[in-house]
Amino acid sequence: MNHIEDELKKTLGRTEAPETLLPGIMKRLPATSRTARMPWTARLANFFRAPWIPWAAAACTACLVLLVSGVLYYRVLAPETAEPFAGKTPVSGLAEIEQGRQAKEQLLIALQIASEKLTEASQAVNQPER
Amino acid sequence: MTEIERNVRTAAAGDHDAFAAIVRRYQSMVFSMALHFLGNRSAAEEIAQDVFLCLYQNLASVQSEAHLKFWLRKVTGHRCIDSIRSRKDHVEGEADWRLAEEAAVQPDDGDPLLAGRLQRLVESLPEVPRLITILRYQEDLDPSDIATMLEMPVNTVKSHLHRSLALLRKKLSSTSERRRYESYRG
Amino acid sequence: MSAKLLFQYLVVSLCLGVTVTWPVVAQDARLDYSHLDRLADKAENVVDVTLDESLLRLASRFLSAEKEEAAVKELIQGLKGIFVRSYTFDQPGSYTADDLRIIRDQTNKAGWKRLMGVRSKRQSSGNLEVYMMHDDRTVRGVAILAAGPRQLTVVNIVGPIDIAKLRDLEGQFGIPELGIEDGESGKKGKEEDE
Repeated sequence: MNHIEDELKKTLGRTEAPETLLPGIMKRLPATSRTARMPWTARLANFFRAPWIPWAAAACTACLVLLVSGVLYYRVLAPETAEPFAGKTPVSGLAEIEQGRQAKEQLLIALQIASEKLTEASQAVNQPER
Repeated sequence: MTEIERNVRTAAAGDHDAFAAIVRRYQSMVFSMALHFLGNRSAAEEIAQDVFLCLYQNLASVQSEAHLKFWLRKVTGHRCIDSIRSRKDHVEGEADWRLAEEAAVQPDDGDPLLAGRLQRLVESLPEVPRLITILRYQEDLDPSDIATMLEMPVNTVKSHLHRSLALLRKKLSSTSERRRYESYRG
Repeated sequence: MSAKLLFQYLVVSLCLGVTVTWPVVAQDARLDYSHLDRLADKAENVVDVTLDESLLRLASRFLSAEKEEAAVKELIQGLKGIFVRSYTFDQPGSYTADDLRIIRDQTNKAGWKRLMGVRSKRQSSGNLEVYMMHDDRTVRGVAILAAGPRQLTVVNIVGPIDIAKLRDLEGQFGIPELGIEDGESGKKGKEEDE
């Protein structure tokens, strides 16, 4: 840094503000609290401009998603499939649920038929013909 | 969250004491910028008042302490430039630089202190280079920070700084030579 | 016999054993009855169940812990598939003897054993044959062939299945009437097939 820059730093150093500055500003502030005198629309707009709002919105969205997922899970998936669908998204779970129900239905029909035929055969073997 | 950020939050809710704390914290910065730019204490005080009143209206948009400082410097700079531009004899661009260079050959006002002469020479710079010089040497900001604040390319900021320093050196040396000459004649 | 010779003998025996038993071990109990597909057009009612291993696992997850379904869940554990084809016809003679022969040819192969055969006119299913594929200790699959005048049913279960438990399941499911009975009961008593 050369001489002129040093001198500029000294010359342009901060100076104390006059003592009248703060009272002058405070005098010009609105007498009532700012939030009270503003129309509700402006207050609402200001509220949503607060720096914590995006975080709060993100948190609310996350809670909502969790809530909806939870409700969906326990209302739709859990009664029959709480265990098999743990960790799956509701969408894939719903598709699978239908397939699962059909598979169960088919399984019961198949076992019914198989069991019936075995019973018939067993009865035929065990009962003497009249 | 810093104390200033807490003050911003409560001041935004209408707490005047919290706002007074903010003013106390930054009044020196704002006032000094305006004073160095305008060279007039009462005009600088008026600008500072306007800046803080404007801040009061926009407290809700302040996101952090750093953002508050950035905002105050930016608004102060714009207010200073606006106050100069509102004058009828205001000129812009190269004409502004020419006027500044012509001012360099004007007889100095006999201020014996270098600092006083330098302050007056800074005031004679065109508005934007003047503001850049103040932000660089008062607020110790990097050219890149100044560029962000004034929304201009970094190279433009550097160019203004370079040209301002050259002009200030030239003016200072010419006044020194004249002073030596006058003392020799005297 | 030297140790080297003994070792060679063992290796050769092992290779021979593997070669001979491999087809049995490797053979799947899955039957091919795709030739029956053409009967679907003639049939009044068709039941076609195809549950491979993955579908069985999926179905298993939908079975509750209640008594009947828990029994089913236990029964199907380890199964590779359950396949059922059942046709009910308006007219007798809608399928041919060849249709049955093609299936029987498969159950005559190594690994399969005929468990029972019932030729009956009293039973609605007509002739009933039960086959089982097993190795030394494990049941590898079951095939049931029921051929009545107006009904043809093939059940093929692949994997270890307990037949007694399967039979005991009858009437426990509470599922709707399948409508595959043709009501030909009571005409003649049972007689053992040859």
